[in-house]
Amino acid sequence: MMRIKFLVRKTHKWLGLILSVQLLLWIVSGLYMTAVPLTNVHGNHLLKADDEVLLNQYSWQPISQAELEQYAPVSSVRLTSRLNQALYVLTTEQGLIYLDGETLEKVRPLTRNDIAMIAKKKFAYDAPVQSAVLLKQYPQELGGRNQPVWQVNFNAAFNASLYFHPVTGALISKRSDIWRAFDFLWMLHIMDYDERSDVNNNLLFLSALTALIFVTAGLWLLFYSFHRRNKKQVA
Amino acid sequence: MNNSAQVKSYQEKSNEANINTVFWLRRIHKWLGLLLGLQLFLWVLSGLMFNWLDHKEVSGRYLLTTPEKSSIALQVDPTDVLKKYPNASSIQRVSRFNSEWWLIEDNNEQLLLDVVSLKSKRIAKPVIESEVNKRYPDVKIISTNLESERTLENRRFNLPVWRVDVSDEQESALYFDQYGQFLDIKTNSWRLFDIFWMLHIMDYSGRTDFNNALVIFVAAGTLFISLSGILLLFSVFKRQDFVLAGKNKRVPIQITSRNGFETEVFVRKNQTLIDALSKEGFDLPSNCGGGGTCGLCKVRLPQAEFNHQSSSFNKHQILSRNALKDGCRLGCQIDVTGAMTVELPEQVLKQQVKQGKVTASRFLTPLVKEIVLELDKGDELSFQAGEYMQFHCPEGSVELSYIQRPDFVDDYWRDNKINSLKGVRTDAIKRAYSMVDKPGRCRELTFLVRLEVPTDDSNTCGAGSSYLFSLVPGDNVSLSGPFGEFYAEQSDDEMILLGGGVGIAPLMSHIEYQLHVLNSKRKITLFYGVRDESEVLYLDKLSQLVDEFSNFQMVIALSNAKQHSRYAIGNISDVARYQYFKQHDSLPSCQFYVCGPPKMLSSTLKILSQFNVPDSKVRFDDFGSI
Repeated sequence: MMRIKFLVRKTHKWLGLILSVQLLLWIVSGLYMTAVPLTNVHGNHLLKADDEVLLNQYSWQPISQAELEQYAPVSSVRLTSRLNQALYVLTTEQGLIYLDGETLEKVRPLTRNDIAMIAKKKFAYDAPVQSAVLLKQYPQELGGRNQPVWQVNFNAAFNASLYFHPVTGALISKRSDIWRAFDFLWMLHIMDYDERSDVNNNLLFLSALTALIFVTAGLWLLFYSFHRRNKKQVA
Repeated sequence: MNNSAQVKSYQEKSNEANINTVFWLRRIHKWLGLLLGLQLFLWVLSGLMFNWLDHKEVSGRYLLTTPEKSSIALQVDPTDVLKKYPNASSIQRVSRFNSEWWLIEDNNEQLLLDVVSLKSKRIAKPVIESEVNKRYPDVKIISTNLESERTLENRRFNLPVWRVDVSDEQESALYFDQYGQFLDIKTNSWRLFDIFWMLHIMDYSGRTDFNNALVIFVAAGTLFISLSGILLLFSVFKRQDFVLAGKNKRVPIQITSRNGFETEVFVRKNQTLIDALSKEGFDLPSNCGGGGTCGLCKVRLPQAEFNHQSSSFNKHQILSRNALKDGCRLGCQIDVTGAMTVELPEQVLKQQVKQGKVTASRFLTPLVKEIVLELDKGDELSFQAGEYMQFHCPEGSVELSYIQRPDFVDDYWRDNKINSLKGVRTDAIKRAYSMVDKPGRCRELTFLVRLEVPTDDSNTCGAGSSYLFSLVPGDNVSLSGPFGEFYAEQSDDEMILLGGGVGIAPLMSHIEYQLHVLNSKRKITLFYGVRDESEVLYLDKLSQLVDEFSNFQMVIALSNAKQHSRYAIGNISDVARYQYFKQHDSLPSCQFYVCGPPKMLSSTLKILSQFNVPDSKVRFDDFGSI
């Protein structure tokens, strides 16, 4: 009996030493992820409520068979809008094609000024655009997809960044340090230090398994840790 | 407290504050562990399950194929749609279910419109089922239902929602919105995952909200478990833990106590247990310095075998047979030969080293001094009646002739050639002395010291007692403790105290405790034996107590009286026997406390056993044997 007790105590002590940092990181990151409201992590507070954009505001014309044939086969056609103009979005085998709703010509990407204007309108805080950068592909905080994107940075609301589509000007995503901290802690939580997404990694498995033994030993020790105080005994 | 960290602090001889910190850390750690440990376990278990369950399998999408997109007719004119839905913000022509549709966004709502009627159209069951077949070929559909009630499984979709159960190993269900748009597939892996998810985020009803108050609260609590645990690491690990080579040369000693204290120390082989423990910071009290005669270094070996014929038992003969049977042994007589488990007295684990200054030192008789000391810097010692301290006596020597003394002492010393005596301490030694004071928390401690004079022609006197005799006000002393087992049991039974000479010291403490602290009404009888009238210590104080308390009586006996006296004549044990025990009608139910020189002690114990007083009723403090 005695021996098992010591073994359990030793296990708890040594595994505690090995795991101490990771256990603390799990708890601290878990505490952050639970204590900070998810909606703030997602950055919903960074945006103003959408103004209604009605297609009727813009002039456009139907798209004819001849026009469409250039891009066939087309699996869908969508009439939508971007900054002050109607826009056709065609889904084709070559990808998405953007046509001016009025002229049916291919549209040019939006300019930096356009993007800055859209961003300023969307952003819920009264702060100037600090910088607007056209990135060749999504940054890591957006998942790194190989597509260009406008990054608009603000010096407000925990370094908020809004991301916009270069052609449509549609909001793609929003990030702030609240999200970045969450993401960093998530990395620490799941112990995938490269992609920050693989929860099935071996390091995590090993750590969690060890931690399970550690915690079990700790719980076990509770049985020995609470004693009714003995009356002084004299031989 | 069950506290190996305390030990470390003893080893470092660090201050009480450190001990207290560790004590509180340990309390926080274990109580929060008790409160929240189960959730911590569930977090780790569920976390492990998330890791173990394959992400792809949980998502279930691997079971499905993506249907090919079919193209639309090459004629798109949204004019009519926009007329009918003037608030639309997006109009899209799509191909679905083998025909064409308008998919529009109107007031932030998605609508699927029939291209002819331009009316929003819900999708019928057969269409949904054909969609399933497209995505999940070769699977049998068990049932298809339009759900308009919230379930845990459809919690993330807008209602109503199509649920199609199919017969595969995963008992999958495919979900489509009311326009036939595929939403998700839920598998058994996902369902299992979801249960662990619920346990992980502690949202037991919705399983979605991980910002709930409960999980935040518990996470904050476990943060304290973790932090206290990490801080405790500094105290539970000893350097020895990391020395692998050294560990081989050393053997582990598991240290326990009656209330569950546990720790482990590594010590070198082939030394006595008392030495080994002392090097690790566990100082067992000892007067004889390892001679096996004082009996103070008693420890318990839970695994010891009792074999009284074994010659090794002679070494422990000062211990009673019952104690030996119980596993008690003398720390100084045990050699560390291998791993062992030792139960130490609580006091050894709690002992403190105190520093103090002598404030008074006066002769009560030519051979007895009363020494009062005050602990430094307002420090206090909390002790119980009957406990003793160990004085640390540094290496050195004392010429008695240099000790200042009043005339009556000087006369006696000259007559008895004490002037020429010398006390030598070739090594630092420790000596035990009982407190005379009323127990509690004290800044001032009072001790009685009797000078050990030689019984033969030698000119050396007691090394410890001569040291204490030489102390003058202002001298610094260091002492450790408290120790002892000479406790009084709380009861209303009569208390019979038998003291000889300076053996009155712990008895004074007991008497004061009973009368002044407990206000006990029990009968207390003191038998106090000395050689002659001049040796009666604390006569005034004792007489006053007799006057003041009707339940306290005292018999003083003189063993060496030369003339008639108002006191009884004879050995105190004999006086007690003839004057009191013989007439007593319930002696075995009394409680006895005996303290005095060895001879007095042994004769008293013998008499008590003749009167059938059980061992359990007798406590004694054996201070004389060195």
